[in-house]
Amino acid sequence: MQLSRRTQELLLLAPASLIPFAGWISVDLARDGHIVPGNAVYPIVIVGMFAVAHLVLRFIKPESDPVLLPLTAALTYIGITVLFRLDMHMARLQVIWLGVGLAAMLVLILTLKDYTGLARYPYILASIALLLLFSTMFFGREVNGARLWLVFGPLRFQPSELAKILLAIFFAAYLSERRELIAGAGKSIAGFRLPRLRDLGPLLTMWALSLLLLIFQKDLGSSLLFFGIFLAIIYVATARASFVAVGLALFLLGATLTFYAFPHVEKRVDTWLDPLNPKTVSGDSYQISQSLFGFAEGGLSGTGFARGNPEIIPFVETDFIYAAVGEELGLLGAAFLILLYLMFSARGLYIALTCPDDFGKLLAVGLTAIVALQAFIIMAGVTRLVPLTGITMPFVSYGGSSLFCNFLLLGFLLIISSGGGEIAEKH
Amino acid sequence: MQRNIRVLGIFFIFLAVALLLNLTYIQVFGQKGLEENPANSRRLIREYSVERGSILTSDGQIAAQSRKTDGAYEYVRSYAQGGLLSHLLGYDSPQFGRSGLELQYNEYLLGRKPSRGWVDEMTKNVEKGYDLRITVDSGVQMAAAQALGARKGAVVAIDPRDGSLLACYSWPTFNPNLLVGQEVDAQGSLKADGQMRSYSQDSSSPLLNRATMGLFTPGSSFKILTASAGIESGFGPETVYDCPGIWPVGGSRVVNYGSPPKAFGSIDMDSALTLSVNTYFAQLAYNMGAGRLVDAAEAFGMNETIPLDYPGVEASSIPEADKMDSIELAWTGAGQGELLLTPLQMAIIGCAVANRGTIMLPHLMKDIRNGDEILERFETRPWKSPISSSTALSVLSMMVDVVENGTGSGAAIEGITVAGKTGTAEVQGKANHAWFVGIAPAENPQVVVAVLVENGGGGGAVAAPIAKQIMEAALK
Repeated sequence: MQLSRRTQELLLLAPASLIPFAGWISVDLARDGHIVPGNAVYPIVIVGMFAVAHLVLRFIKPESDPVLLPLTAALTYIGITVLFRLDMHMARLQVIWLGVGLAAMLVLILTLKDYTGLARYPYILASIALLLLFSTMFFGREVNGARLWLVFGPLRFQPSELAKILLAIFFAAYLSERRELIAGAGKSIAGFRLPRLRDLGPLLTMWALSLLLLIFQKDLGSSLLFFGIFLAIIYVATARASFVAVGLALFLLGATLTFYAFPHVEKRVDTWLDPLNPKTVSGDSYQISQSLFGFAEGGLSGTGFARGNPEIIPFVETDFIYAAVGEELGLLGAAFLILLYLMFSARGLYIALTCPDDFGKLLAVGLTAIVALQAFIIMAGVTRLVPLTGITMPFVSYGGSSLFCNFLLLGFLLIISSGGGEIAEKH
Repeated sequence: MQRNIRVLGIFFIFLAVALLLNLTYIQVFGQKGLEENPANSRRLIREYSVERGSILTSDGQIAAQSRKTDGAYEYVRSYAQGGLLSHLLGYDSPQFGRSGLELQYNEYLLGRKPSRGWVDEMTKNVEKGYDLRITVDSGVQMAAAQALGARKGAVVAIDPRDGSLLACYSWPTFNPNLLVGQEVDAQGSLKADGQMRSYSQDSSSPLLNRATMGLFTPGSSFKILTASAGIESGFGPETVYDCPGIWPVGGSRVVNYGSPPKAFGSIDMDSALTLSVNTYFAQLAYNMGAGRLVDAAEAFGMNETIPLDYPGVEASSIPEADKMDSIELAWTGAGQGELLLTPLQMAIIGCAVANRGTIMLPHLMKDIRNGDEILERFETRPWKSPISSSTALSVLSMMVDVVENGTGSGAAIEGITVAGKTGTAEVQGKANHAWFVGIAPAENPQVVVAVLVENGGGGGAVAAPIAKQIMEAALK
C-alpha cells in the first residue's frame, strides 16, 4: 500500500517532534536541577506550529514534497532548543518569528498558484533585489563591522536575506530562456569550449556585484554566497565547466585584490591561518579560537545541554550557534546537523530532477544551493575549514529576517515539488 | 540538465564530507591540543568546577582543601595552616597557575589519575579529585618553624631509612590563601594581584623555597663529604697531618679559625672533624686530588637535580676537577671556595652517612587516596650509594664525637646519641651562614636534619640548637 505524501510527512514529523521535548527536559535538569513545567510551552507551541502547517498543507498542497517540512522542523527544533538554553528571551522571539515564517510560507503557497509566472518579470525582481541590497549602503546601520541592517523602529531587517531569493528567481528565469544559446556557442580549444565574450556579460555583472558587496558592505559571506548560487545555476543550465572555472578564477582574483586593499579582509585571513597565535588569541582571533575550544570541549558526545560554556563565544546565538551545538551535543550532534542539511539538499535537487520545466528546475537548484552553500559557509567558517564570514545558519541561527526568508524559500520549493506548472500546461 | 543536477549533488556530498572530516579532527584527534591551550578559559572553568582533592600531612592534618564559592569559579583553594607548609604545597590559583605539590600532583588532585573506568573517562564525570597524603609530619614541621623563628633560613628533615621528608621549611614564608582568593578591592582590581606583586618585589624573597632552591656556601659542614671521600680513597680515620694555623699552598694559604689562626699540631681525622680544622681537610683534599673529591661529590648527588617529587629543586654545584687549582681544591676540601649547596643536598649527604652508605630516593608523596581507600603508594627505593657501609659507620662515629666533645654540643639530646657537624660559612661582606647537619639516634638513625640560618653567625651556637629541637620532635 502506498502511503499518501502527507501521511509520509506526518510519520516523519512525529519522531522530529521528540527533539524539543527531550531538549526542554535536559536543559531544565542541567540548569535548574528539576523540570520546570512552565517551560513545556516551548516544545508544545513549536511542535503545534508545524502540526498546523502540516494540516494546512493537506488541504492546499497535498502532493508537495513530504520530506522537506520534517527536515526544516528538525533544524528549527534544534535551533530553538539551543536558544532556549542560551537565552530565554531570544528563544521566545524566535518562536514568534517561526510562527510568522510558517504563516508567510502558507500564504505564499495559497497565493502563488503558478510559479512559472515569476519568470515573466525577471528584471523587475532583479531590480528589487539590487535595491534591497544596496539600500543598506545608504540607509543601513552598521552592526558588528558590517552594514547589513535596515532599521524600522524596533524592527531590524536584513535585506540580503530576501535579495538572495529574488536573485535566484532572476538567474533561473534568465538562464532558462538563454541556456541553449549560451551552452552551444563559443570556440573550442583543446576540447575545452571557451564562453563567448557576450555570454560572459551576466557572469561579469555578478562578479562586479559580489565585489561591490564585499568592498562596501564588508560582507564577505553574502558576497561568496551570491556568487556561489549564481555559479550553481549557470553550471546546471549550461553544463559548461568553463563558466565555473572562469567564475572561480575571477572571484579568487577579486578576493585577493581586496585582501591587499582592505585591512579588515586581511585580518580575517590571518585569524583563519593562525587563530591560536598568542598575539591575537585574546584579540582579533578570540571568537574563532573560542569556537574551536568549544568544539574541542564537546568531543565525541558533547558536554550535554547547559553543561558547557558556549556563552563565552561572542555572537553564539547567531553566527556561532553551530559552536554551541558542537560543544554541548558533541561531534554526534554537529554531524547530525550536517546530515540534515545534506538530506535537505538531496531533496531539493530531487525536486529539480523531477520538475518538468526548465525554469522550475533551475529555481529549485538555486533555492537548494542557497541553503546548502549558506550552511556550508558558516559551518566551515566556525570550524576554521574556510575563513570565517558572518552569515546565519539556515533555520537554526537566531534571527527574524533569516528565519522568515528561509520559510519563504521552503514555500517555493514545496510549490515547485507539487508540479505548479500544471496550470501553465493546461493552456 | 539532469546530469548536471546530479554532479551538483555530488559536489554537495563532497562539501559535507569535508565538514565531517574537519569536525572529527577538531573534536577527536586535535581535541587534546586545543583543550590544553593556555588561552582556553574553559580549561580553567572546568578545572575549578571539580572539588579538588585535599592535601593531608602524614599525621592526617588537612593542609589544603577546596571550598565552594559563588564567585567566577566554583571552588577556591583554602590552606588551613597558612604559611607553615606554603613552599611545599605551593598554590592553586586561576590567575597565577600552580606551584609546588599543587602542580606536581595536579592530575591526581583533579581526579584524572589514576585513570577511572571508561564510562567516567568518556563523560568526564569527575565530582571530586583524589587526596594526596604527604610524608611531612605537622609536628616536625611546626617544630622546625618555631625553632627557626623569624630568621632567614631553611630546615630539611628526612627519614634516612626510606627517604621521606619529615619537614621542609623555609623562612620568610608567604600566605597562599592571599594568592588564590578572587576578592577585589575598592578600585575593582583583584586583591591577589597586588599581593603577588608585593611578594615578588620583597627583597627577602618570601616566595623562594630556600630549602630546595637556595644555594649557599656550606662551610665546615661539607667536611662530612671530604672525610667520606678521603676514606673511600684509601685514607683512614687514623691518617695524621700536621695542622698549623696557616697552611701555605699554591702561592696562597688556608687558615684555621681563631685570631691568630689556631694551630693543632699532628692530629687524626676524628679530632680534625670534632674540632673542625680547616688545614687538615685542605691537606686531605690536596692529597686525594680534585678528581676524587669531585667524583665523590657527584656520587652524593651534586651537579644534578635531586629527583624529589617537587617542581622547585636547584642542583648543588662543585666546579669541574680540571678547573680547580691547588688553592681552590684545598679550600673546597674545607667547605669554602666555589661550592654551592642547598639545605636539601646537605640533608642528603647526611642520609648517606646515616643509612650505611645508601641514599633512599627522597620524596614527599606518601600515598594517593580516595577517602580511606589507598589508590597508589610511593614506592620507596634506593637512589644512590656513594660510600660503603664501613665508611659511613666511620664518619658517623666521628660525627658523634663532634656533638659529644666538639663544636656541635648544642645539638646534644639527653638520653639519645646524636651525631652532627657544624658549619660556619664565610660570606663576603656579610655575616656568616650558620649550618648544622644532625643525625639521631646514632645507633639506629631515624632522622637527618639540615639547618641553615642565612647570615646567622656560628653553626655551633646558632644552627645546632635549632636542629636539636627538630630532632626531638621527630623522635617523639
